[in-house]
Amino acid sequence: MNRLRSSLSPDKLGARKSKLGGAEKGFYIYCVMDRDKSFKKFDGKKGPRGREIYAIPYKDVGAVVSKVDLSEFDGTALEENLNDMEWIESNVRGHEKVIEEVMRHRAVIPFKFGTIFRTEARVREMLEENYHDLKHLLCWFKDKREWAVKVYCNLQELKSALSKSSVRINEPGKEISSKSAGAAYFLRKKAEDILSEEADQKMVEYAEKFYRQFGEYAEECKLSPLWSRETTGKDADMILNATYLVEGEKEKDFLSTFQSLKREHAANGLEFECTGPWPPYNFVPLPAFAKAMAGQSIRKDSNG
Amino acid sequence: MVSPTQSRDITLLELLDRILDRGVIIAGDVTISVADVDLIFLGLKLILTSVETAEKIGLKGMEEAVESH
Repeated sequence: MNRLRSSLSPDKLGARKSKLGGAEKGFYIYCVMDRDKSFKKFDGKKGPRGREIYAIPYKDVGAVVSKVDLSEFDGTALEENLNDMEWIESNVRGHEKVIEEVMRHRAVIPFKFGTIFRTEARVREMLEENYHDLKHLLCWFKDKREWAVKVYCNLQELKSALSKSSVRINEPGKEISSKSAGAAYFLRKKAEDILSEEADQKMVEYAEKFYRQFGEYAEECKLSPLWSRETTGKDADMILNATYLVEGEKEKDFLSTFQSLKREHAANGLEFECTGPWPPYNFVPLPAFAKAMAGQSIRKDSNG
Repeated sequence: MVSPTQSRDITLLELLDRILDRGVIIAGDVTISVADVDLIFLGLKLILTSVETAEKIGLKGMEEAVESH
């Protein structure tokens, strides 16, 4: 079930494959941050596995990094590690924890898991090459955080709520009792079809309405693919999967909108979930960085 | 509100979705193509799949993705 490849893209000195147990080091980047005058260092805060975290500066930005053993990220080792829930817990959550900690005090641009450079000079080079894009993005992210909203619909409950209120659905019902068994069957079937149709329409209406309503409080919003029941494990269908970039000042209104919609629609078979605050992973414009790396080998997968 | 680093299966999935497939994608000297790893939720069992693949199949029909391996 687990297919995994880790690749070492050619660096300027030529490709070298790191060996298991080798002592080759790299610099793992968690994020880039605004490096204002108040920043000193990350006193006492550690990365995954107790790694030291520190900033490699360039002008008024900094890359937040840890020195790592490349052997931990080598093909075979990585495959084993990704099968190890403990490794995932500490490295994946650890990656996120570092970014969240930095985000408490300043704007951050979160990096995807596993961006590693061979030397500090290479990190500085990356900052220099992308400085304007990074700076622009940090300004945009200042005082904003990402929030995720998911809405699920239990079809049976929605139908039940609709059948109580819908005239169209109740119409055929009035005739049914006076008909023969055969006619009654068809009338009932018709009523069920109408109900299904109304429920489907309602779910789409809801998704659009809610997406817009939350969006009133956001500077940017994004729709993501819906997750299947197998993924969520719920006895309900996801009808909305959205993320929002919300300014600090508007967070309170955003969240109270969430609470009131949740309450209002509980009787309609709708379940609302909100997670956050997240670093702004979903609001990083990809093309800006991809073009800066023209000439380097970029794996098709890593462009998302 | 659920904090991102709390221990919940859905939140772990949200976390993995973000850090494996979002955020800045810059080709480092050592780029992990974690996008090739399989992640699927089947009840309590967590298996890894690429979010790309999941998007391609509309995140439905997980049974198909499982069988093809």
